[in-house]
Amino acid sequence: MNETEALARRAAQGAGRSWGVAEDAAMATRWLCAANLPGLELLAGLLEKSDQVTEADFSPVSTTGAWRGGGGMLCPVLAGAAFSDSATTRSVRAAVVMNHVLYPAFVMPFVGRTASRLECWPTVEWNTIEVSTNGGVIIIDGNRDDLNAASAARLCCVANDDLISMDASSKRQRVDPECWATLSHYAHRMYAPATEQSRLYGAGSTQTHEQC
Amino acid sequence: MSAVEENTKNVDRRHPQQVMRLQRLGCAHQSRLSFMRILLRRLKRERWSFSREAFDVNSDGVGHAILTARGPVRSYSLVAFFHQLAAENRSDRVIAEAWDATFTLFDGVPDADDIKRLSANVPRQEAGRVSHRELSLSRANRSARLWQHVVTSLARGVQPDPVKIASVGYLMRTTAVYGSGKFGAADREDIADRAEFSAPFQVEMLTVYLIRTLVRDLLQHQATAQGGSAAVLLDPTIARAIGIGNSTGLGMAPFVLNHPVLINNWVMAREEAIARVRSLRYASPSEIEFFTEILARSNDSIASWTSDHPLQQKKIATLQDDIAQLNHYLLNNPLTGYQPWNRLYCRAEQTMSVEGQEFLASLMLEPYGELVDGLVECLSDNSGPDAIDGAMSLSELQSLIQTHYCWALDIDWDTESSCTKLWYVSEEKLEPRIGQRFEESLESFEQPLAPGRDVFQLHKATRGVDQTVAAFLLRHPQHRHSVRRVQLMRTAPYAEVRDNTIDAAMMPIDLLRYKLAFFGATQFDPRSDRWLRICLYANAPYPEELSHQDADFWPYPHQTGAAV
Repeated sequence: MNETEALARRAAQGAGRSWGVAEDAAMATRWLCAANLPGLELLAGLLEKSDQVTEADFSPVSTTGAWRGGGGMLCPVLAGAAFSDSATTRSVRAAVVMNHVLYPAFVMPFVGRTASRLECWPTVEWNTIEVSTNGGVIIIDGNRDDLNAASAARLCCVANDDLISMDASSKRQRVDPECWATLSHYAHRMYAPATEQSRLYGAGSTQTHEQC
Repeated sequence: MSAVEENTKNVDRRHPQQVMRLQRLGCAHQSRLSFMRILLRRLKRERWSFSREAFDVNSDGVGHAILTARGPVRSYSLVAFFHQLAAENRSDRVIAEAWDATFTLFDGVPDADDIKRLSANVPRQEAGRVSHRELSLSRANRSARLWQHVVTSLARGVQPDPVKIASVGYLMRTTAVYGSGKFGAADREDIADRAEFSAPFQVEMLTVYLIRTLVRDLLQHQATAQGGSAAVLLDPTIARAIGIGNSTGLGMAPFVLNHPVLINNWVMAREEAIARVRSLRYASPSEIEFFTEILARSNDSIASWTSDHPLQQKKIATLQDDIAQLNHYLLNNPLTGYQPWNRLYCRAEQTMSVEGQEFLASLMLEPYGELVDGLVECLSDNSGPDAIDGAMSLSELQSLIQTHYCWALDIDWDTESSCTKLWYVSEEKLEPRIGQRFEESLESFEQPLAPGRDVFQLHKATRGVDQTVAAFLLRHPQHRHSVRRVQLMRTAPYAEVRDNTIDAAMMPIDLLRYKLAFFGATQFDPRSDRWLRICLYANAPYPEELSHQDADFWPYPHQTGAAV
């Protein structure tokens, strides 16, 4: 999981996300993978759809009324981060509606972490699926294909009081090599090509073999 | 209330603005809270046993070996592969692809299938792949000069020259010890609930401890193979002085900046320990006697500390002067008065170098295991990242910045020298490096390892704005990282290095030494401003000695030949 989180952070950075947003994207990817949900695939899809965009255009214009992105679409990481940031300033029971969200399942980690912090059980609905969580347990109802949906016209998060538990946490995951390669491609953008000068100067070593 | 608690009058912890400066971090010393010492105390207390499960090594020193450590609940095995390496291929750099020895720490006792799998992967290090049964991955190179001397001496039937051993300090030096999820190994989170690994870096410390033992065994094996019946066993007293070397480069420096809560916990624990000891109203005769003895033993180890680096040479010379002056002072001023440790420390701040002050601060803790060792429980960070407090007003955020980042606000970031350096990651084995911002085209690769500059920009962007943090971040998501760091200061005041980490004069070795001192490293020997060599476990008891040797005060060895 640590490798997954590190790759996700660097890939998000390589796709133009600022450092703090890349950290949020990595946390969310790890959360999804730990829940046996396709976090890496979702992140790869999201970065392909939003490579090098201006972050503020994909961030909610406001957190009152239905949320929408400045450029039309909402990035689920930025929307999820805003959901988390503003959680203590709105009623736990208040519904949050987001319009035109890319990869809506990526909002779940932010809802989950907020639920864990505020000890509540929200349910998130989009397309034909409902996902409920208290941060540690996840309950999925509806068409599971929508977990991989590339977008949702409307996503709604509401409070829920009447749920049963099911443990879905995982510590290790199987990785789709194609997806790993896609993310590595973005992460690779953050690695400076090595030169002899950088080898010697950048790491401060003029010793290439045993001198002791 | 214990006798120790009754004997206290509070002295505050030192202020983060004093402690978290690069100059002071670059003078850090090991202490009772160092990770190697925590491990050895546990191994002895819990009566761990050790057995060599395999030693399949030929006369050229090529083969594999297994050393198993058995604790009260679980066992761990160091699996070592020994190779033949041409001298011209021996490199300490992270970009190397072959080593004298490669290692992994296995969770349990490996069977034949495990060894087959590991033999195909561990010798390849980063190019191979290990599994969740492996907890670390490591490699080491011989000190060619010392290895040859010791093997040849023993093969001829004589003991090696202790002076030559002291001049190097180790037979092999590790060039990387990877843990926590690297290259397929188990994540730290998978094992964090095991008591033996609850303190930081215990997997890595156990790995190196077992490496030291198998390296000694390999050396003896080669000497015996070479000398036959003429060969002798290495004298245990000489063997004990031999540690494991370590070459540490820039890869370790970003860790300090990227794990602010963990770093806070380490520093907070040590500062709390120092404050507790300084708060003691009186020292007992036995405590004074013990401190005096440990100080005398330190004289010897500091005297054997050598370095070719002019800056380190100067630091060592100053430290030796400080210790001489301290010895003289204590002759005329015994520690029998009121708050003796506080008086001694305050005097050190007035009369000793920063190197001397940090040395003394660690040394003062030695007589007080009862008061200090419980803080080991506070060293880890299993909390995960904090959520941003979006309800906070920007004026509150500004106030936090002014309190905790005044040092960054005082820097003129428009000058070239304030941002000359730049951290980036090389595509070669993903090695962190430092570049010159105004000489190389590296800015698009820059890593966010300049919190001072970034918080300065956050301060500028939020000045006079009447909003909540949540509302501000909707339009300015690029400040999320800095907002998180600033808010962290409310509970983790030692989380930030309070200096400019991209300044022209910044020396990465200060960050490296800071972390390595928490490991318990000694004999810091910078080889440039960005990598250094150290020694781990020098003078520590070997596994078979743990039951009858002291496992706590080994960093302060008795003079060679003296009883332990």
